[in-house]
Amino acid sequence: MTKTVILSGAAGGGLNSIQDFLEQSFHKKGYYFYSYRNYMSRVRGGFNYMIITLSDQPLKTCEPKGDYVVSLDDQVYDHLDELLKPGGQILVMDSDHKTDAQDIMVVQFPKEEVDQVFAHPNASGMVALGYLAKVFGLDEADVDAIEMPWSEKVNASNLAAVKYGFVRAEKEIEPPLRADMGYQMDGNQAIALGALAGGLNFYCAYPMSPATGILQYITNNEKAMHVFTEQAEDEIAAAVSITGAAAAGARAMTATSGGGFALMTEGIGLAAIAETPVVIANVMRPGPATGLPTRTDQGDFYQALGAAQGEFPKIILAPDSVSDCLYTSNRAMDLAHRFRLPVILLSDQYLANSSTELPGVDYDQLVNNSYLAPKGSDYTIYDKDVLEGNAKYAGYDESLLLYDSHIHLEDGFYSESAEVTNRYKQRVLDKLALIANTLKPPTYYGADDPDVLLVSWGSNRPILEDAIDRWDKSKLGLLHFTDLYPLNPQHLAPYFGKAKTVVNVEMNGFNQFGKYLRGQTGWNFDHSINRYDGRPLNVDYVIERLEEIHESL
Amino acid sequence: MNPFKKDVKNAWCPGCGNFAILNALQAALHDEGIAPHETMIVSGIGQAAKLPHYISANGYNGLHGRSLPAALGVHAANPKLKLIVTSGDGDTYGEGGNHFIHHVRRNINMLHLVHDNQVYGLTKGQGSPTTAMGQVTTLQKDGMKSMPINPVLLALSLGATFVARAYSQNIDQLKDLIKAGLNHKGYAMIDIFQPCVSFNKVNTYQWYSANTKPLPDDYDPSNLALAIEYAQKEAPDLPLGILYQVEKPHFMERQTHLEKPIIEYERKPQDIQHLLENHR
Ligand SMILES: Cc1ncc(C[n+]2csc(CCOP(=O)(O)OP(=O)(O)O)c2C)c(N)n1
Ligand SMILES: [Mg+2]
Repeated sequence: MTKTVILSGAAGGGLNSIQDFLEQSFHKKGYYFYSYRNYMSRVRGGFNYMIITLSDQPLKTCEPKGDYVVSLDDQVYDHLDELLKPGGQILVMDSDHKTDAQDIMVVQFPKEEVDQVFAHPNASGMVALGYLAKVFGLDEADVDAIEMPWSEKVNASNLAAVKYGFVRAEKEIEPPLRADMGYQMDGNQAIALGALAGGLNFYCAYPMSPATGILQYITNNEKAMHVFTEQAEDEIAAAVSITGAAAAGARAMTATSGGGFALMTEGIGLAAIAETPVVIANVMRPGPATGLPTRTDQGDFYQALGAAQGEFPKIILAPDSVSDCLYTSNRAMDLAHRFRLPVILLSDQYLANSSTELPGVDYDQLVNNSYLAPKGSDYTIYDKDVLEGNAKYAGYDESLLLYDSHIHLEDGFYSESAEVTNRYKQRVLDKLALIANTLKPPTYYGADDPDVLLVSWGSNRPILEDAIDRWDKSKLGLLHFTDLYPLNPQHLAPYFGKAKTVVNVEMNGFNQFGKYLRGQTGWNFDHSINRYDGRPLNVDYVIERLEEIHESL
Repeated sequence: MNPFKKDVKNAWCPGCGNFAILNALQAALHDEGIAPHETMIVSGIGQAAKLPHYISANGYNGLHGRSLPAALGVHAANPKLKLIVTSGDGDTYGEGGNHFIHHVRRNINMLHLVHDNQVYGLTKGQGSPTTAMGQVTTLQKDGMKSMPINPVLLALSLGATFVARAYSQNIDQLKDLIKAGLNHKGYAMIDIFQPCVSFNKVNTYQWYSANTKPLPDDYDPSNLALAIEYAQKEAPDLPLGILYQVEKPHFMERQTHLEKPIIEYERKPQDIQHLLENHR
């Protein structure tokens, strides 16, 4: 059983609260769920919708269309093709309109009636919540257990509205019988938690969608975790402040989206040459400039690869799912400290605003390793023989540390000598070679001898795996990367020449990673599947493109 | 022996006002009984910003304009480090102007020395935010066409809790001001007139000596209105001394959830478990 609920309406109409309550109560009831927020960059009005796919089986992504579409106003009629499955139901909360379509069911609660009964502006959404709760087999006790965050009076009137909807629906679906529910979270929260598990204690950022959730989550939990958090005056300050914090021993991170990342880049080069360990997350949205503030894409691989002047060591990682956000952000913190350099985490709005269940947390995969040298030991900050570990920080013991942004001697004193410059470049190359051997090779999914090999990175993995399962698992394979830079071409050798046809899949128009891979390996792709309209990839979209490619073969 | 002295080749021009600032800082730190490993000296980029290389202490020589954000990070990580920022007027008020504004708002417990030579030294003599209107520079051959900012007045308007002005040649006063700044609880800023012998042909040693005056003996540095009045004085009455000082809760005192430096709290991966319980 897999069913999808879509909640739609204008911003400011209470959609987010209904989504949170639905997710929480469905999750507690034992449903697996995967939800995604499709919203506009505005505070009121417009057309927003939240997708919640529910199942008795674990989910890798959500469905693009709904079996139940709740409409808090009448805008939904303009979007039926896009949002409603054949035979689906629309719950209309605010309309006299009747649709001409024959094969859809409409359940109508006139908003005037709802509003009259409850005299509260957003009561209609609560009615829909109650209705869906009943449809999905929740009990009255489950509804009573919803934790509403408002005043007692508002909570009571909202609960009455929920019940008004509840008694007007029939149970249609039997909830799964399950007691081993895991943790419900979105990609931003998972990034925050992974970093906190890795010792994060300094977080400084400037608000920017879709990365703000990380700032919000860490700030909300600063007391419990003893974290210093600060809203910086701009992204330049955020990026540089984390290098200062690292120089004094903190585990520091910032996050932003493409525009803020552009401002941070000089600080990233600084972190590299000064050898201060930091993590910078870029939660991508489509650019250029302001672009599409609340949508998704993978347009910043080139930006991450080329961030800042000069050649220096850095690491780029792209988590592939909400749960992987937790582990990859933890790994980012660890790698930053092990190699004393900036680690760039490339997430995206799709992951940031996807909420789902993590079955559990595998603590064997989470680390907070110390790479510190013994106190009181002889120490040279940029010891030429040390490429990893053996770190100190200012104030650690009586050693004096001079962090420097120039080409410098081993003790940090600036230098303009050709020899010292060459030595630095050798250090960069040696460190990158060492890291390339340390990072994770790509993963492979699908047929042993595929006709068509998909190559992709980051958040596309679960969707492409679903597409492979649905299309033809005996003919397709997926080579997928989370560790993007530095690459070890030897990791790829087993896959060279494996398939007749190679298809590069990216959420951008330039095939940025595919071309970089070609540059690193000489290995070409024959076709590509690209999406760059700001909307997330989905299985239907991939299969349509695969069929086109297949026909052309 | 002063432990802050460091035997290295210095790249400042002979006769530069920076030497006096370096000497005064080293003397003041030693007099105050502070040890080099307890000290962190942060700078941006410029001639002034080379100072961390010339002093035996922990140092951080970062990016042009970005000394203050780096200092925020250092301080929040470990407020026990004696934190000093030393940078030029271009660095502080030009490239880093936005950081300066917001840094004053935070009232971080630190000393900020601005080497104000009223010119961009390292890049060979262009005008800075404090170069006078009409002054000819290596770039502005017809003279500056924008008004200069008044850093001490700006700092006062932003609510700075310690605002002083010094002149590098008045070495005893400079040292006393640095000591007062080191002992101030909160953000202490000293804008230091520092002749640039290579590029500033107007604001020379002679010029500063003729155009600065110590504050009157009965001057009351707790009077903000008076400070604002004196801060507006122009040559030949540019005032030297502590214009304003007040005690207010400083930045880390406002972090009420932190009882000790963040780096002193232990953390294991399993500590996220109690946060995870909120995700059930
Ligand atoms: C991002 C960036 N922009 C410009 C420069 C070039 N630059 C270096 S120092 C400087 C100005 C220095 O003036 P000031 O801060 O007053 O220091 P001074 O040399 O006078 O002591 C400039 C423009 C740079 N290093 N980085
Ligand atoms: Mg200057």
